[in-house]
Amino acid sequence: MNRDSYVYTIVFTFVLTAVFGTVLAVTQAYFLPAIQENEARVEQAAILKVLGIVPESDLIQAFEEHVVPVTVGAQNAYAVHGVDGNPDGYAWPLKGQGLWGTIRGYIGVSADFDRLLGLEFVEQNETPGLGGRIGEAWFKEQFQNVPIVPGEEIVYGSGVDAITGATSSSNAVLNILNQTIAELMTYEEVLAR
Amino acid sequence: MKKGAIKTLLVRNVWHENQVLRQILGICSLLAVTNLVSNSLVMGAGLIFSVALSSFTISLLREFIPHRVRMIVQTLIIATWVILFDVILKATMPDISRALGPYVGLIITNCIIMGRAEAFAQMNPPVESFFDGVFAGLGYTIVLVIIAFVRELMGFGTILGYNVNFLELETWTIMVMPPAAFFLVGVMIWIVNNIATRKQAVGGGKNG
Repeated sequence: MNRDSYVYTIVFTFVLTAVFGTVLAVTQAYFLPAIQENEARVEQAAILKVLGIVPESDLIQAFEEHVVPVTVGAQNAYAVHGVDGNPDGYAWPLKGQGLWGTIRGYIGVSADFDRLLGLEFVEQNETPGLGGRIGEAWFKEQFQNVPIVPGEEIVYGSGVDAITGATSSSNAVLNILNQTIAELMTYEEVLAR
Repeated sequence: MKKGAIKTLLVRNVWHENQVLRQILGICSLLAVTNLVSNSLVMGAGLIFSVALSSFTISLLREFIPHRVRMIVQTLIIATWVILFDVILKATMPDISRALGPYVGLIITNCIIMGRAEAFAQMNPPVESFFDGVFAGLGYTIVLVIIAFVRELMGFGTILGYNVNFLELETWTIMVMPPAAFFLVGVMIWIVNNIATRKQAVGGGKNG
């Protein structure tokens, strides 16, 4: 069989691709439940964190105990149980374009929508060591208790600092954050009901 | 497989033809993951796994791969093994998988794997190719871990996450950032080249 004939090349490539594709598909299917569970845990950990809940022992248990999913419009938001039955705050998904890729996460807001409770990312692909530092605790913790004033945007310099050498990523985070807050405020009445 | 062949491969791939220090391959991932020793170890494991099995598979199929589509077939094989590693990592070690982010997927484009496929696997038997891959990956991992050790120690004051900064010295932010890997890999290449040239001058050592 001539190894360099067109027919052989085409058949060989098809067969090889089919075999390797099948191997990958089977492995992916086998590990999918475990991967999904891991991803769900990351989301749950982020939601708990922006709501200021420290899980006593098990993450899933803490999540089920404290957090109530609420659907608002097309968004999935999460409310946290208050002691008196009223919610203490809300976690709201955050998503937008960073410098290199999508930045996704959650923000937490207080029940009366007057301040941020926290900010957490579950996905970001900013430059490691520079923009990637938006994932560091000191950066995210700056946003705790930042007041939300209707009609006003959060800016750097007023108690919240950008990251040196990562202006684009810092600004991207701020833009996404301000957009998310603006969007959230339009749902304020729906959520507070 | 001839006696001593494995040892020859080991010495050649870890020292004489070290992928990073002698051939300057795999630098991209080196800059990215060497700020923590743990990330470097997993990255090294990933590369050893991928390059060994890719070389093995390519060598196994070397009589059947049409020359015209040789490289695209190699890429297909490499991609399959890397994706397998990525999936297993995601399922079993999610924290490290997240820390390595896109770099595991980028092993596919790591020049070391393609280099071993082109330079060794396509003209040598499977077992030799497998060991060639393991040792090439090992050489890469050793360099990664040495650089990560220095960077983590000076950048975070920790080793494998354990705090060793007993004197509470100021940590160097630059060490956490990618440029530090450039400085360190430069210094390492200089040292290794010096030793190698001296050895050659003194003992007339084997030419790499």
